[in-house]
Amino acid sequence: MNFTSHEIAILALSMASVLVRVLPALLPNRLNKTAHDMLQRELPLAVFINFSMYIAWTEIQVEPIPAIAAITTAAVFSLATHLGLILIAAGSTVLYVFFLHLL
Amino acid sequence: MKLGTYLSEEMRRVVLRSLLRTLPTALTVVPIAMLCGVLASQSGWGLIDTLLFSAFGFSGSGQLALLPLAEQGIGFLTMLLMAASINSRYIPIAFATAHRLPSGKISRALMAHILGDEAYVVEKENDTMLSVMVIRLTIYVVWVLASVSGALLFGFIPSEWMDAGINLSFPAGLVLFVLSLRQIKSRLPQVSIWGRRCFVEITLCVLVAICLLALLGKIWFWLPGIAFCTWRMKELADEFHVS
Repeated sequence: MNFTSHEIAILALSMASVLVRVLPALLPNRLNKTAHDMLQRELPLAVFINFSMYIAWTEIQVEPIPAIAAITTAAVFSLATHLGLILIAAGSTVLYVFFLHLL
Repeated sequence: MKLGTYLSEEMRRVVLRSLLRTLPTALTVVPIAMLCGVLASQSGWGLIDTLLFSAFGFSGSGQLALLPLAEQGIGFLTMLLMAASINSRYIPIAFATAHRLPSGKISRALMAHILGDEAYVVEKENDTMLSVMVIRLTIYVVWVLASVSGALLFGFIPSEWMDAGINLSFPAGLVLFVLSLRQIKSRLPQVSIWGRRCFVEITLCVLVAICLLALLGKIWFWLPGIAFCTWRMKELADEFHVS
């Protein structure tokens, strides 16, 4: 049976989803309280710290100065104020575009 | 009868609330999903293949990485290894969110498959199963429809737009960044009270993540980065006797 390169790519990405998303969710969850607490508390925090750095790093590599300016602004307003998500994202994107055209 | 009416009204409220909470984030994935569709069309993918790629793959970074590999005729194992490595961040996320899923094996597997970065940052610890389902399904459906729309629109996009170098992913990345910071802000008190020690540990985690990104790259930094931060956060929690 011959598969086209598109079908192979679909199959590979589907299998990857099974490996990284489905199997971990199906594995039996017989953990002690310490491990359970760690999964609920410290692990998500660790994921979000790394995830935010991943996003910042990705954007800084594309357009360093505009991205640093916009991301820093977004970080300050997210952590220090109660401004809405859309307002922070829109304001920081405007700043990004402004620096992009300035440079 | 009254209980049934109450439950259905309550369920409707949950669905509506979750939908409204998810929509702004779901809309930010539209440009990236459309880009995936446009690039797939550009590489000669048909509409059905693009639909299946988005529906069964459901991974922006994975789809964007595998498109050129498929064009070069790279083998299945290489593509699988590449896709699994790029998406390895989902392993801890899937573990950490497994308790939110239904107990039935098939529904659990389907809900796990439609777990995305965007859904993870929108979901909250106290969300009901229904709420989690609405959040994940909304983003998934928007993603699949937008990528198919991108493939359909490909023929109408002037070629000079494709070369304009517009960074379409920036607003979406920014929304995810802000949502991640909010999750950190809301979860930190569960681990430690804010103070000098907490600041030092968070700074250390950020610096190590940056160093790992620089040294190992965006594919391989995930697991060591998450392992290091989990260790430091655990030490912090133990010091403050959070139980």
